[in-house]
Amino acid sequence: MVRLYYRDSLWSLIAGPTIWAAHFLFCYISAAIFCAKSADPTADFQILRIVIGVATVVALIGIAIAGTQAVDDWRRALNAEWAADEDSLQIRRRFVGRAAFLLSGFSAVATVYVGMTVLFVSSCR
Amino acid sequence: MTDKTKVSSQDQEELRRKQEERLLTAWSAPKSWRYWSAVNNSEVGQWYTLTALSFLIFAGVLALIMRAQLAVPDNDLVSPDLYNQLFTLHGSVMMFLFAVPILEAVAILLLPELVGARDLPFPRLSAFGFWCFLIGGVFVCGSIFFGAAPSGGWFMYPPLSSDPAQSGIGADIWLLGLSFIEIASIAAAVELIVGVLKFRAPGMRINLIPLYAWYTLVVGGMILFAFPPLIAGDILLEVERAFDWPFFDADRGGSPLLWQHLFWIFGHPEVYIIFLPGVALIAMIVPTFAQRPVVGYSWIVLAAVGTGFLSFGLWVHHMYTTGLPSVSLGFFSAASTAVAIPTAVQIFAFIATVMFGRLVRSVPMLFAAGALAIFVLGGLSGVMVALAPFDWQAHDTYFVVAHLHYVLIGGMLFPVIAGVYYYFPFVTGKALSEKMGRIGFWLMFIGFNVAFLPMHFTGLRGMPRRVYTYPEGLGWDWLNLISTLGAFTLAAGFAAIVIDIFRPKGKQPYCQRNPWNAGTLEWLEEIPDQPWGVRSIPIVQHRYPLWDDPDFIGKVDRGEFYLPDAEELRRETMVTSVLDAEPIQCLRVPGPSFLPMITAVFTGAAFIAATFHLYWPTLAAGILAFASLIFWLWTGTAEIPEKEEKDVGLGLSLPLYRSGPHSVGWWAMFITMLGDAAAFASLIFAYFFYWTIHSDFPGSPTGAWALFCYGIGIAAVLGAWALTFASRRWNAAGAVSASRLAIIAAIVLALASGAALLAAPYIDGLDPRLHAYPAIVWILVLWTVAHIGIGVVMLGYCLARSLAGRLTPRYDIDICNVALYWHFAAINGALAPMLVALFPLAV
Repeated sequence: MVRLYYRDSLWSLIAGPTIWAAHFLFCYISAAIFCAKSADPTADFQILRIVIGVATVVALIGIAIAGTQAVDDWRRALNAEWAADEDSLQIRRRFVGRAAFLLSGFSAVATVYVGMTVLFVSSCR
Repeated sequence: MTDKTKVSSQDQEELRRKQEERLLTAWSAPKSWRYWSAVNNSEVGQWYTLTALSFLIFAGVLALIMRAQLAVPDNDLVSPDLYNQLFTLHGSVMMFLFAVPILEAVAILLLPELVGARDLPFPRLSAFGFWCFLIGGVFVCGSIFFGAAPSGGWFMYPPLSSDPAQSGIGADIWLLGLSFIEIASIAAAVELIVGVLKFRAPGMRINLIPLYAWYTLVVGGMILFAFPPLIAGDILLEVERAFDWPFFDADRGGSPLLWQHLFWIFGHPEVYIIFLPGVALIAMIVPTFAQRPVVGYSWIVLAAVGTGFLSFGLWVHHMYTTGLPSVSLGFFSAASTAVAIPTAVQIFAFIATVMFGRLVRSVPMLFAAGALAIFVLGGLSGVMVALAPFDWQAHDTYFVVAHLHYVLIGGMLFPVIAGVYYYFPFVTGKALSEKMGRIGFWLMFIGFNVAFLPMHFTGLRGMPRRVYTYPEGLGWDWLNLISTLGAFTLAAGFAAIVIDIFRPKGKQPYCQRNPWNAGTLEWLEEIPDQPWGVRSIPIVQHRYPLWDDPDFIGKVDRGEFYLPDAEELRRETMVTSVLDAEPIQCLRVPGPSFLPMITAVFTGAAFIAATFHLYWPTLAAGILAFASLIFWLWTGTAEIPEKEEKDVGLGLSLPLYRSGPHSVGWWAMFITMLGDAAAFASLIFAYFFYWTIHSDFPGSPTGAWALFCYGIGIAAVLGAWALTFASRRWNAAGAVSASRLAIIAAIVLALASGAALLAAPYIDGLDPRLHAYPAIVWILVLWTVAHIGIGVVMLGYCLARSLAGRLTPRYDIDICNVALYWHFAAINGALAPMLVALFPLAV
């Protein structure tokens, strides 16, 4: 299984949102440069569309990997007895896995939101 | 009972009394005039909170004057220029001197108690931050009494703010006075992040920390990446005003839009920097008055972290009307609507907590409920203005004024007052009046809605914000009058609360301990308060330890946990690991000192003198500030303990000194340098921004000699970095002389690098006053050289420490932290020259 981060680290929480941020920045920067530098932005818009589409797919794959890993950490810890606030390493792992999973899900939704822009807007003006 | 056990219990009693005496000696605040040298989080937190509340009252009065002016059409209560100063100062003070500082203040006050620590990691740094805040704040606020307040709006758009002739001294006061406070905010962020990550009581794993601490962690991270772009913008704007470098002057290749980008990259996260600590207070209050654990803990963590990230992708929604490509607007519109998801998640979690609990009615809960109601309305109008086509109609009208006040007053003022009522017994041992609270709440709640709800309609009817008056008959008259009546009602409610806070409470009895029957650690506090914070540092096994174990308070009081004593009469607390809070160090934190105040006074003097372009006094004050800082560091940090380890109780012995990634200083350096890197990235952003808007940017290609100089500069800075790294290694290995020689060589190389980097643009004949291109090149080079210069000072400091025997192979905090600094300095030192040298050749 592909792992993006060590099991016991806080990276798990921010892996999904960080990919969202990188994707967002990429979309913003590529659109800004494209609109400023393209000789005919209207004719070439399809290029930007493809670039952002590919970036969105890549970002979603990354988030999916982070999310799968989070689910894996969460599920492994699920064997530990269910208790809301028990003090054990397993419960801590379960919490981090679950929160990381939720954050990955949210990041995926936000990434789709941002990527969808180029389906509806096709102009630099 | 036998005689023997009686004697031993008497002994126990005696021991406990002795321990308390020693703790008291170590932790008591200094008396009489020396009181102002206090650095403990409870004193500094209280000063900070009261100062921020005074600024709130000041800015509120400014708002009332504005509302009086707008009550009727064609009013002439204030002049147009004074009106400009009023709204600029109102916005700036509320944002920079109240909203952000109050939440830092509350965090400084609460955080150590919430996580079971005795103090914050860097008490003197908090004190320094407070004094900076006080000096800078009084300076900025005072300007209006001389008719010299800033008048360009709280976001200071150039060209309105960049022409010294038009804007007068006010813009300089804003730029320098507030930059000074922004630096204090970053200091507080570093303090709070390290506090949450490393200062939690043993056993308090990351899933057990109070939600307030989660929010504080997220907000600290946000401050770290949001404030530096503004500081970078402030530097550019002040340099344009003082030295005529045309960063924002369109005639000479600059762009006013660059300021808007830099300002709002700060300004939008700022909204959440203000809002999240407000919700954090609600997250503490709601479970207490529902008498059950919060519902959806991990969902709320999702909301906090998710909002923190998304808030950085919203800044352009303040710039929808500036003519950016519509596809770009689309990205920001998408992110702006997406941020409603995590925001709503936490609100549902609170509602669920109340639903599943047994609600106890109280004033804090009333304010919390009012806050949510108001905030939800503000959030909904926020989704409206997040949609670009709607925003094009509403932009710069009173609709936006209404929206932002709903967000800020619902998201932060009401929660703060809820927090004041909730935590007043925690701070003073006495409760506020239930009756006054209710009167205050209803006046404020009704007054607020009467004042701001009509503004939506005034705005939709076309009234622009920031106009000092308006003619009658446009349909705005009675709406404005109603708003003014509402504003004064709101102020009356607030006055009731201020009276309740300041009324003498000498005869009122102390309230009982843990008066709200809360479950979190801060309510361990004894009433009246003892200066040591917690009697012994507990082992935490539950999110609500006071509910989990009925005798928890007793165990802490009897000193049955860690550090129940201060044998050496030193202030001590525990450092634990990030994820699972395993004890790793017994840290001695510094006690009272006037040094933070003195350093802040000199730093303030330097900034204030610079405002008036008095450069010799600036230099003099700067040197004094530097000297007091070095004295402070030399005498107060990286102290070598008299023994290796200390018995902290319960059979645990912990080291008193740790360096590298195990020390809190290393973490502070790392976090500070992340913020510094964010400022550097903002300058790089500026460079590329110019490239996207100008076909003739960059100017002429770099000349051969300049290229050579840049090359030398990069090679030398990397050499200095490698030698610093080697020096650290050699020192640790015991090769002290080699380590010292490496430091000297690193200093020589760094100086050579600085000289070569300064020579390069000079040889190229770049004049920063002619065009934005040479100006941005010079700024990048100067930024880099300044960082190399700071690195040289640090290396010199390490050399001196080594020679003085304060830096040894075993005790090497200083060189570890300096080596960490140099990693960042080397990245900066290599990247910036490469960019300015090679980019003009590449395009």
